Amino acid sequence: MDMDPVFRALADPSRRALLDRLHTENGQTLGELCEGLTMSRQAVSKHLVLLEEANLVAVVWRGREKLHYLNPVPIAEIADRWIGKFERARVKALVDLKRELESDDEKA
Amino acid sequence: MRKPDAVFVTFIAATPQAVWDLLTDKARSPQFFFGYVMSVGGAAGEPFTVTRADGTPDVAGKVLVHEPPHRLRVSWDMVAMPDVPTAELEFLLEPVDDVVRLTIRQFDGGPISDSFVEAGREGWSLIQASLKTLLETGRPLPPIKPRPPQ
Repeated sequence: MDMDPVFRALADPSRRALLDRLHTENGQTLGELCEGLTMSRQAVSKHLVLLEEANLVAVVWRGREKLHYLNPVPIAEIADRWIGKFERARVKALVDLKRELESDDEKA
Repeated sequence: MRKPDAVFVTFIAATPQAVWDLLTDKARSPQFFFGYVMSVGGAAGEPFTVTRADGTPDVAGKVLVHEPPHRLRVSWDMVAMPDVPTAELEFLLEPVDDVVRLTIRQFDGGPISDSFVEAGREGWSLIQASLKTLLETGRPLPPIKPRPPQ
């Protein structure tokens, strides 16, 4: 698998922000994604093309409406390459622990 | 058309028939489905089930659309969680150049908790990655290849 487009797409903070928005609310139109952003519609549209090319965004057409979905599969493929079957559970436990501890920090 | 709640896409260097054969092969399903056995009935209306390695039923459902080797749609009921509304899962296998685009569309039966959304994301991503690895390399998951320091 050619991972270069995935890493290139993820290297930009604006594109990561778009993925964050889809992570929160999946299946948005370009118009919905632009709401509340300082980026121009054109810029968002360009970023989405790169995300689509990297397969990090999957598109579903509903009539004339183009819906954008976060596609986490390429990230799973990266994990598959460097994380073994048995390590995955341990890595997940560590990530969960970190999240748990950090959310406690925020509350304190 | 109803809007899917989640979409998962991967490209696999194989034929649609090879992807379909693996996806519907009960004997090989534990190799890409976390050791669970997925059983897909051979026609619309027949049962669709997922069973854990110890024999506990996990998912009960029905085959809704059975169009080999391009489209499979099933209903999805979590056996141990009757409160979770019945979902539907659709598998689309489309040839693109000389590879297959495998799309999984998830249609929730109603609002589900965030932890369920996350579990679905993680689960389907890993299943797709496993299907791809299995079809392209013949191995269930790649071995770890640590790189020596430069």
